[in-house]
Amino acid sequence: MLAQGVEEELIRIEYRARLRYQGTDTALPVVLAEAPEMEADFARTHLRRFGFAVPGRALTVEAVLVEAVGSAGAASHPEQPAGEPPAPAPLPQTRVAMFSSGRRLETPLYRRDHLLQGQRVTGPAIIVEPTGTVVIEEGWQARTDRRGNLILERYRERRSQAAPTAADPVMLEVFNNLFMSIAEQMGATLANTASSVNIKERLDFSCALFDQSGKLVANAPHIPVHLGSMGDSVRTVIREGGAMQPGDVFMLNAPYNGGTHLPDITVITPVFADDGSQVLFYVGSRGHHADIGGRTPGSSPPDSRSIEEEGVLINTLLLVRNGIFRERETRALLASGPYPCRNIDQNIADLTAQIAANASGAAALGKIIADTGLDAVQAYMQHVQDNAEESVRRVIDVLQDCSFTYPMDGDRQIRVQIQIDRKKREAVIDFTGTSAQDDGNYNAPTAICKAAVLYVFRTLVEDNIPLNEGCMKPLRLIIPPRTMISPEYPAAVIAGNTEVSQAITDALFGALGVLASSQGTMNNFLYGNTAYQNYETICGGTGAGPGYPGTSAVHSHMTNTRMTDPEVLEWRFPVRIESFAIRRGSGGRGRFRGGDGVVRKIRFLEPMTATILSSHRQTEPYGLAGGLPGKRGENSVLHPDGTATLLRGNDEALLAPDDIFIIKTPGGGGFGRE
Amino acid sequence: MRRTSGDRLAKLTVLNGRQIIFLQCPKIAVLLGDRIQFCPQRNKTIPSPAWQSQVSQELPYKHIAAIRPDISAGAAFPAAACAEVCIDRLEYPRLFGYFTKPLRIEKPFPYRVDEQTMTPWQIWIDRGGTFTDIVARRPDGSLTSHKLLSENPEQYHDAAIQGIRDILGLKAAEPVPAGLIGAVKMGTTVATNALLERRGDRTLLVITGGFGDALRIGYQNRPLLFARHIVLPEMLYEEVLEVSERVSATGGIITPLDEAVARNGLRRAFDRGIRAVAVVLMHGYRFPAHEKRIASLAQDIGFEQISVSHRVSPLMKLISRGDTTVVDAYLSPLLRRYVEQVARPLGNSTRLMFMQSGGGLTDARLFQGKDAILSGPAGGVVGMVKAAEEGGFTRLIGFDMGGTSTDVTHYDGEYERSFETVVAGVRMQAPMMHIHTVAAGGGSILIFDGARFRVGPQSAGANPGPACYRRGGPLTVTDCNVMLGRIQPEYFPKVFGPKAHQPLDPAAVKEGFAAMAQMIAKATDREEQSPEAVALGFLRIAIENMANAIKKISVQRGYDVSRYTLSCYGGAGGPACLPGRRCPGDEDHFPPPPGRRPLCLRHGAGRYQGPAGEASGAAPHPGGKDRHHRPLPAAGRRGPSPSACPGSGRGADTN
Repeated sequence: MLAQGVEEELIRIEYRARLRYQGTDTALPVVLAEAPEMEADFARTHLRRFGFAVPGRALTVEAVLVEAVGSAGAASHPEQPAGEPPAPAPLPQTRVAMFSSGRRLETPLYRRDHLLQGQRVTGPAIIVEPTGTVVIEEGWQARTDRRGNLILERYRERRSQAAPTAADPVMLEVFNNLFMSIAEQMGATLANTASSVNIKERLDFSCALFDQSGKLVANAPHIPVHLGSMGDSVRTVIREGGAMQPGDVFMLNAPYNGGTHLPDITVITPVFADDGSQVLFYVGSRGHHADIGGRTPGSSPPDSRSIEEEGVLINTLLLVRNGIFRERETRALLASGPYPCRNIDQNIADLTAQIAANASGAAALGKIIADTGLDAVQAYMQHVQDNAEESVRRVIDVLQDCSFTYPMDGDRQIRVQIQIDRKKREAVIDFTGTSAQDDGNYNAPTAICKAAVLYVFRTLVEDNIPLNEGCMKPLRLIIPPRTMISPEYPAAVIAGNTEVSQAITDALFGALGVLASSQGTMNNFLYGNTAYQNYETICGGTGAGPGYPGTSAVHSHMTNTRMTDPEVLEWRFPVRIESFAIRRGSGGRGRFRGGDGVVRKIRFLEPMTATILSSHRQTEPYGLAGGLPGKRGENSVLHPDGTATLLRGNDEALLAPDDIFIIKTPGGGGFGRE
Repeated sequence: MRRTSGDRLAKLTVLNGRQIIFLQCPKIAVLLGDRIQFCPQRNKTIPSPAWQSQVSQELPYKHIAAIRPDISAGAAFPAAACAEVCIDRLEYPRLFGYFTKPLRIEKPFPYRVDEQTMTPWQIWIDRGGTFTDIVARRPDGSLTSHKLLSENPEQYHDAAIQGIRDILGLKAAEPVPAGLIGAVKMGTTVATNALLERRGDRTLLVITGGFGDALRIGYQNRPLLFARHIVLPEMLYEEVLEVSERVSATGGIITPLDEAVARNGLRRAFDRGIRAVAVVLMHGYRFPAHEKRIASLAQDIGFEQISVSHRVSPLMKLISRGDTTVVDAYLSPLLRRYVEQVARPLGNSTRLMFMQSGGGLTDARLFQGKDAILSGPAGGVVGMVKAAEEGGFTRLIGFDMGGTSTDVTHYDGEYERSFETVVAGVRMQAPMMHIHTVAAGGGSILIFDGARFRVGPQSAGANPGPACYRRGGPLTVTDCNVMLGRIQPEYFPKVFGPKAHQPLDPAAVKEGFAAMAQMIAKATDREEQSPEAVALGFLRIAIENMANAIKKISVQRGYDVSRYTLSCYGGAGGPACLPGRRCPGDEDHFPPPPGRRPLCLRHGAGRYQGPAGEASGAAPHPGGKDRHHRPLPAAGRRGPSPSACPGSGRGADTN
């Protein structure tokens, strides 16, 4: 700063520390001071920003920032003398025709450099200057302040206007975006107020808006497996929730009626009419809780055979009544069963955040109703579904009948047949022939199957269509009972979310013939001991398509979760990353090559147990149109003495210090004959 | 400067420096900055400030031939001297007619400038992708502005320097006189554009063994959730050199650095012509010994740009620190060449400073690639805040709407900075102004998809631009404004058509909307709407989209937007946002003075985006030769004075 010629007395130096709660990634800056002061400052900032603070939780100083601020010479905008009140009304340069409020009006046009301080221009009017144009709308007034700033103020209250209820192409888009923005706003509230890393930082949640009958109107998922998957849960609450009252909130996680897997807890709030007579809408949020009990921490036992082993099953529980959180009952439920939740305080904190997210959605809806009228909002909830339905029908119009059998490891298979009814513009997607319900946990609840179908059709639309119940209307799913995609109580389901979901997606793409198989797995890798636990999913290759190659080393289809930075990982856990590299040549050959998988080698520095849950260790990811399949994945442990242990797709290993766990993920299939 | 023969000229006398012109006619005129204004009132007393609005004629400075050789454009007028100003009779016959009877007013005019405030020229420049804008403060404290194309190879080599020459009235080959300019402060999108277009220097990445693909894999997520063909951003480095070395998270040396391998690898890359190197090692932010050693090897070999991760961004996270270091190596050489291009013609006596991504100015020599990415937009934010605070507004939503995108910022007494940002597919770990960008602007294309009206995200860009630009472009938000009369072609620069002298084309707009109205009627089986109604519908959607973008940076982060002032300073902000139908918290919409001037005033980086403004109604006028006057300086005030200003000369350092 001195070298830059700033005089010493003009330099101000500011010290700040970026702090975060231990184990989280959200750092906030505070002024550098003694520890207690910084702690208090951090708690205040955190409270303001996120609505909560955790007194006593350990803080980490992520970085110390030193900022030197030097004052350089700067010009100030000259101030005009106070005008001689009252300033005369300005004279317009001319009048021009401007269209506003539905009609063409003679509108005055002013030159900005002719406006004097204090003069007011009442809209509708246009102010021009050499570098731009400013339109003053009706109900607004512009004035010039002492420095020549133009200030616009509303001088007349905005009239709220009931919107018409007939489908209008403009209002359709406006409502579409509004509904979507409410879902996003709920998501932001949830991410802000949740305290668990899973929800706050990995964004493993989704929020949605439903109409009176529980049909999805808008949702904002961050990962596709959450797509459109909450409608069945809302309908379950409608069916089983009993007599609802204003101030009620429900929760559930049962995978057999709209849920995905137990850690995903759905919280649903009915929104009542002002007079409390009837439910007008529902808002819901689904969040992945870090632990919901079960045999292993994180609620994902690799070898579970029944749902009890995976945690606490919640059918429909009344979470809030008359606006009062039924904490005692909730805690009792979470602490029940053979494998209760491990950190109930954390669950409660996240549930509270979910309730808050729903409340923010309900409030935002209320605002829109006040603005445009209940009739219009309800009418457009239907119109946006009709619009989405039509978008999907247009895709169906160009599809052909097709089918595919997708072999999975362990002699399982997904069988799918797509039949197009041209007249009705419908597609029947028939999964008859899919393997029976798995004795282990390779079972995907029907909600996941729906999400996979919705995802595939969304990629076919190739346009940003709203994702709501309308999309599913022209798609008729036939799923026979007791298959691996329609499990029944008490089937274990933990691999359904990650593995079976990928298989369903690839099976559909195979049938449609538009994309070769991706790696078809999420390579769930869990490790830990009493002191540490970590869970990661690992990327691989994606399939090639007509006209383009697959992509190497990237997450595909139903997941898109981030990998922890290697330095952060080594800082938090006693492991060392030996390499994380593209597995060259693993993509299937073809006219367009499949993407390559990766090789991840992790050295363990302490004894730990590691579990891998992965697919395509026996079967190869298929190629299409003559393209060759991608390479299978491979799991193994390299011991310090140079020997290696080969592992299966789903396996567990006890690791000694300096053992290296090696995961080779599959490549994607090729497309077209080479 | 043009000279005309005497018989066509009327003589005016300029007295007492530069403020008043005493005319030889019953008119009073004032020289305001760069133009003369005439008061039509026939009284013979000093006019009240209100007369300005009654001004019937004004004369840009460039049309005045100052015949006294010591009074040339740009030079300070000699104090207390009388000057004669001549006006071309043929060009201004009406004015000429006024100048018949001499008139002297003895009473001193209240607005005078004290000679003590005379300082060298101060110049602020914003070099955008399409246009370069300049604001200059003359030695007498008055202000002027200028706009020119950022690239015009037939006419000039560098837009900033050309702009300075234009303002000073220098001829093409004439050197800039030493001492004339005190300081030039600049914001530039040179680095941003080079990054977007991947035009940086050939770069070698040196990284810990086993991590050669680490930056390519990154955090393994894909950018678009629903794309079947996944396209990842292109890597900036050309080659990777994995070196044998390893340090643990706590600083233990697991594998010592193999210097021979490192040296050979560096040498091979150097022999292939690579001159920029980025060194990124595991845990190097904390244990930099190996990085330092490799940097010194690279220096010995002769690399011209050596960016080392622990110096570029000494923070944990290999991936974002690595990306940042690569960006620095990739862009710094190009930036240095650019700085040199500007600095050389200015000479040593002029101080040259650049705006950094974090909102502070830095000496040109210290301007680095990693701090340059948001140089343009950051200057806009700083200026917006200053202008608004001068107006008494402290809680602000900055709204910089351009042609292809709109930048939204939140301000509540402090600049918000992000420490991790993704720009053009690159994860940057450096303090930057927190800016939320949405892909929507004046150039956003209008689509009817059979059921819904849609706006964007595709943009018509600067070429072909909106339909009204006479290049066969698609209908855009700007065209809505033209259709509705919110933009008046007559009051928009006439720079269109093959010879760049035609106004906007309202006929093409009308035709386009009429055709779309027909199509809509057919698809929806409803009565055909008027073209205006269609345009109004699209405009409404554009406005709602903007409102939702504002919610993202405010309401969604827990700020109550109804207590904020919306401060518009982008080219397209004027006509697009101000309808205010649903702008959340529309208490005040508050665009700063003409062309975001105050922002320029205080911070140089007056930011007019190129295609941005161009594609919109409130466009910075292309080729704008127009200049406009400033309001009168305050009575008794000593003109603009340098004021201390946080945010200027700000450099952030992290350790």
